[in-house]
This record gives sequence, structure tokens and C-alpha cells, in this order.
Amino acid sequence: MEREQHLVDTLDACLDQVRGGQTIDDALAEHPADAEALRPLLDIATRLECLPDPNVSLAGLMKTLGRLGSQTLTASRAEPAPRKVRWFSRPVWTRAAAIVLVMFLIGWGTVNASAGAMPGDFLYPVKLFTERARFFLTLNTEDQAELRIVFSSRRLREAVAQQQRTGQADPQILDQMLEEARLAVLAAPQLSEPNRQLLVSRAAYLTDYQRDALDRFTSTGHPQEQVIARYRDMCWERGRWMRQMLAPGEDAAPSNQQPQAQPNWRRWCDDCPMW
Amino acid sequence: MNDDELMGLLEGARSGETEALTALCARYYPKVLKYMRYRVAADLAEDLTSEVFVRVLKNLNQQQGSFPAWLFRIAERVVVDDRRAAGAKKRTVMTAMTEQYEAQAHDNASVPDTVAAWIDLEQAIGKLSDDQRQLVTLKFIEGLGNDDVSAIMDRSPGAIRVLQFRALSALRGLLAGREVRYGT
Repeated sequence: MEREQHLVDTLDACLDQVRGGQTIDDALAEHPADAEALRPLLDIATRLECLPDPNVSLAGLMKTLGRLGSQTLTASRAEPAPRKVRWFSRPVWTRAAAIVLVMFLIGWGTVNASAGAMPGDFLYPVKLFTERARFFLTLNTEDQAELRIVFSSRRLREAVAQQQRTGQADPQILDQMLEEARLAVLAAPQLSEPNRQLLVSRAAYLTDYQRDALDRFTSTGHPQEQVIARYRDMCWERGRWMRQMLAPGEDAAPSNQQPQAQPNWRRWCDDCPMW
Repeated sequence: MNDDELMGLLEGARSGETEALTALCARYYPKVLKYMRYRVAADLAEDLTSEVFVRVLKNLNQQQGSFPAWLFRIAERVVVDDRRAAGAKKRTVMTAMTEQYEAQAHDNASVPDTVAAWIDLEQAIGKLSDDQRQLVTLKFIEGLGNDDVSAIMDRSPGAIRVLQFRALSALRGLLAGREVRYGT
């Protein structure tokens, strides 16, 4: 019994030493009388620590994250337990409200599901519809322009995704990309000076980024090289056009005159490069 | 991940930050899955791992002390609850891991002895008593320290040291016929 307790304690001490970086031989050097009994146990312990990890399936991990997401949602919507009333015993208006709510939830779910949809996907038209609805529900000009910049950025992402998936980028999507950015900056004359500078500089930055992205297509021997080069060149033209209005002081009006900013910006809008 | 990062993730997850919760789950999911692979039938491992994280989320506000110890206590409770729900103590079947090792051996012909040794070792672990298998899994496969193992198994550090000695001795006996691979 005492012998076993001695081995128990010595084994634990040796395991700590091995875990700390010593070899089994080094750890046992201090306990020569126990080496024969402990060496095989230390050897097995070392081999246990070297067992490989199981393959983690992405599906399993995603399922877990999905359960956690549902759990979070349920917790955040936790409410007292409803009274047990038979559904069909409720008044007519309650049933109508329930139907509207269910339809709303279905619609909301579809809208959410469509957020990542790409051209050709079943839900892509829902995504475009949602964008339009969101735009028309936005009353502020500045916010509308911001939305258009977001939409333009999305069109580029969709064109790239489509090109990667099918090998072809749809020129119609690239047209929309350019048009959304153009319409965004055309709102500039209606904004106050700092906001219009900010808007145009954001649009110019996005346009430069779009030009670089399209340039990558054309430099890799893409089958649509000529078509995409047209859009890339247009991005270059538009970027240059936008930057014309970003130079400080260019638009400043003399203090003793009627502000000239608005007309200048309007004239600038008319100069937007087009096909 | 250091302690500060872990504390940051825990605080974020407690306040409902999705990113922190996702990072915590991604960090510990493989560890819990590994634990489950040695504690329950292979086909249950993923489902029970998932259940562990749901319980973690539910009880995160009560978590104190060592997070790994708390996490594996929950994992073990999930194992126990599953066995109770099944109505009988299940035998651990780790065929999936064996199949994985065999596939790896097939892929890499230069390591068949190592893989064969893994399979032997895994089969031997499957023949240990339940508490010995839990200790081996926590201490050697998960790499936890005696304090954490002691907290998870609700035994004194002295009892853990004895159990560790007996578990390794039992494995030595089970692997006795395979001297070439283990030198025992």
C-alpha cells in the first residue's frame, strides 16, 4: 500500500516534469528505484497526449452556432408564458392580426434570407426589391445617396461573384454599379458643403476601388477583357471627374456675393462622363 | 488564447455579443467534441457537443473560476443526462475515430505503425472503467491540469493522483500484448 502511494506521487511528479519539457529519462533520473515501474506509464501518458484531434465537421459546428443563434433570439424575446386559449376561440380581429403577423414573419424571413443572394439565385429579385423599397422609404436625400453608394458597392461584389461562379460578368450589373454611383453623387448639390464633399469623396474612393477590381479581371486574360476594360475606363473617367470637385477652395464663393457653390456643383453634374 | 483574451470573450458573450459567442464556440468546439468522442458513442458526439454549448449559453452568467473546468463539468453532465435519458449505461463506441485513423493510415503509408498504435490505444481506452476513461480523457487527451480535473470530477487531488496511476496501469495491462508498439 505504501509502495503504491509512493509510486502514485512519484508518477504525478514525473508527469509534471515531462509536461514541463523534460524527457522521460530526465524525469526518471531522480527516481532510479521506480524507473522500471514508471517508465511504461509515462510512455503511455505521452502517447495519449499525442493522439490526433478528431475531424471537426463544418456542418456540426454550423449547426451548433445555429442553435446558439436561436437560443439568443429566444432569450431576447423571452416573455411570460401565454394563457392557454384555444386559437379559434379568439375574436375575428385577433385571427386577422395573427395571419398578418405570420405573413410579415414569412416575408421578413425571406427578405433576410435574400440579403446574401447573388444574380441567378432564386431570391435575388427579392434582394433588389428590398433595396428599392428601402430606398423609397428613405426620405432624406443624404441617406438616399448613402444607400446608392452601398448598392453600387453590392453590384460590384455580385459581378465578381458571378464571374467566379460562371466565368462571365453580366454587363447589366456593371451598368447598375456605375449608375448607382453616378446617381449618388448627383445628389451632392442638394447637400450642405461638408456633407457634399464627404459624399463625393466616398463615391470617388468607391469608384477607384471598382476600377482596380475590374483592372484585375482584364489583366488575367479574361474572355470578356474588352467589355470589362470599357467599364474600367469609365470608372477611371468618373473617378477623375469626381476628384475635380474635391480640391479645397475651388468651390468657395466670395463673401459679398450670392453663394456660387450651387451653380458650380450643378454645372459639374452636367459634365459627368457618359458612354 | 491567453487569459485576458478568454476573459474578453467571456464578457462579450455574457453581454450577448454574437462575435464573442461565436469565437468562444469556435475555440472550444473541437475540445468538447474530442472529449465527447472518448465519452459517448461516436454518432452522438456532435449532437451532445452542440447541447453543451447551448447549456453554456444558458448558464454563462453563473460561470466562475476556471472556464475549461466549468465547461467540461457541463460536458460531463450532458453525458450523464444522455445516459439517463437512454435508460441504460451505454458502452463507449469509438468506431468513428478508428475509421479516421485508418483513413489517415491509408493516406500516408509511411506511418502505419503510429496509426496502428493509435487504434490500439483507443480500443484500450474504451475498455477502461468509466471514471478512469474520464480521467484519461481530461488529463492526457484534453491536457488539463490536476486542479481542473479534480474540480470537474469532484474528487480530491489525492484521489485524482491515485486514479491516474490506476488508469495508466490498467492501460499498460490492456496493451501488454503489444510490446513492439509500446515497449511495455
